[in-house]
Amino acid sequence: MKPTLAQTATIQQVYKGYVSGLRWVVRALAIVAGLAVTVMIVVTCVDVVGRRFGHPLKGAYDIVELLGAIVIAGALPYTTGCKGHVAIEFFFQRLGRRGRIVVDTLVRLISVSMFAFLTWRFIQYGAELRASGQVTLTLRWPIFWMPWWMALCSGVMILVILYHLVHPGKELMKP
Amino acid sequence: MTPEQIGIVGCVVLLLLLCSSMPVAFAMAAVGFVGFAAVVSPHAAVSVLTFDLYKTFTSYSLTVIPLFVLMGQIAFHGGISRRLFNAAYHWLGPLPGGLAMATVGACTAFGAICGSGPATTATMASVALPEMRRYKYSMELGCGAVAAGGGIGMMIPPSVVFIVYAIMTEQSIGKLFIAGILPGVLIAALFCLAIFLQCVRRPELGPAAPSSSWKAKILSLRGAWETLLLFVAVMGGMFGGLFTPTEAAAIGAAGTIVITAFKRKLSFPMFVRSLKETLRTSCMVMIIVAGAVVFGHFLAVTRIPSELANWLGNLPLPGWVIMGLVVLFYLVAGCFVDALALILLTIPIFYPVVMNLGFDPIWFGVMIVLVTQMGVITPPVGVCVYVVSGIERDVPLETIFRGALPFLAALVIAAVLLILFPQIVLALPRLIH
Repeated sequence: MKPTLAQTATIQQVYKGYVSGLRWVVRALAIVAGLAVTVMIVVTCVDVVGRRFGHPLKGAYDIVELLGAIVIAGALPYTTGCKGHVAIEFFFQRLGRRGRIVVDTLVRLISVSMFAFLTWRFIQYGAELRASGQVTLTLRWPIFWMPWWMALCSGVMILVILYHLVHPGKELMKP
Repeated sequence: MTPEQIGIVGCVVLLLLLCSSMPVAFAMAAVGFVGFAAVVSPHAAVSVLTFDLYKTFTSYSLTVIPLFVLMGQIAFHGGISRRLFNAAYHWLGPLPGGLAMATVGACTAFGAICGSGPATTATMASVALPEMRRYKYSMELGCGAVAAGGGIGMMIPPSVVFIVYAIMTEQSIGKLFIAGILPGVLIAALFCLAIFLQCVRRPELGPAAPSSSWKAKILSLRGAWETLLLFVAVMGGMFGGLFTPTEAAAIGAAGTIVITAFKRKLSFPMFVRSLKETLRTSCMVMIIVAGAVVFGHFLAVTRIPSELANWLGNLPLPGWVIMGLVVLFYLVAGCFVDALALILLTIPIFYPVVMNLGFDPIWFGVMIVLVTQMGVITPPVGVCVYVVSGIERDVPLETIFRGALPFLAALVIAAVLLILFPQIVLALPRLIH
């Protein structure tokens, strides 16, 4: 049965809403990453200056390490969404239109399966760390949420790559 | 299949994926994972992939990258580059080709607070090219100088390429940084020589600017103090053992923010813009590092690198010939592959070879950066040239590539000098030791 015009319009509306929602999530993750960079500077400076006066910040190393991971994972969907990754386009651009679409689809399907796999693995890994009660070196903070953060970002990655798969040649968002 | 055969198949598949425009980082991780599963076992591959990625993401030493990138971004948006160019302009402008030399000088100085070649190029292109246009410089010379000059930023510490090399090979970031200073200055001098020789032969390329008074010259130096201060604080603290590279980078970033705020150049939108660019650049770099770690693990279990190293080491050829071949390989491959990705792809293979031949790891790191500098200005894929053409849209790409050729020659001369006189690289690190 063919969908009526009204149904098509609704589907389009829903899809539009989904895409802007996805953009919003990607932006939110990037904002967390940006805040993490800023906090990293503050924590390190407080630690270095404090050390001169004999009051180093306890566990600054732990905090900076965690912040670093928050930055990379959080910035990943954003960087991918703006197509900011290094790729060799030289040979790809020389393919015909049909060839480009086939290759592009294949490549993105590989990427999607990889991130789907990673999402699942990071969820598991976080659960393992939680079960074994893994903590950071100095501060003894629980650490299981870090693989879960990575799983979240990796899960959003799937959606970003799927968007690029459905809209070849377009990027999800402007830098 | 033997592990070696799987390794070779893996490399071929990787090459295919790379040519099909898959992001370099994803391709390396995917091939590394599947290859590891084929050589060892799927179960081991699953834990290696997760663990490698998790470890790389939570690595303390990698945090140095976003911090140094942010420092460069703020310096760029805060107008530090303009003031540096202004100072160099007052001193070098009156010489034949002086504005181009001033660009090279300003690139070198800006490299001291910015860790990325393309970023240095972008900065200087928007500052120097309008001036050169005003004095009727040939845009071939001008764009070539900006594209090549930006590359110096990779040699002068802080440098993202050095950081990545240090992490991959477990060398000291500080030693690599200090080793880059003399070669960086040498390359800047060779670039100036290349400009001078061209302009003496064809004066219409770069007419001299009017000479400025001594008072103006001295006053212009005020534009360089902030760079000098930041460089001394960051590098001095690092070499003096006051702080780690990450701490140095954080202090540098904070210092740059304070200085631009002091100059009333800091605003919230500007800070956000810098942060966004920082996220994109550093994520791009770090994700390739993570991919390279996975791929490197796979290569290691195929034993290809060690066997290649043994084979090359037993060839009846002197070490410098093999080194020359390695440099030639980078020069050719660097034409097609992004420089940083190329380094990360090949370090697991070439590093054991070069160590086996008895070369110094620090010296090799500097050589790698030098060939990277060649890679960013050679056609068809030369990042710095693309950056310049993106800013100076009415100059054709071929013209910029042609303009960069004399600088490529200068870089080849620099490579020969560094192979003949490794002391140029190793003198300063030894002094610190």
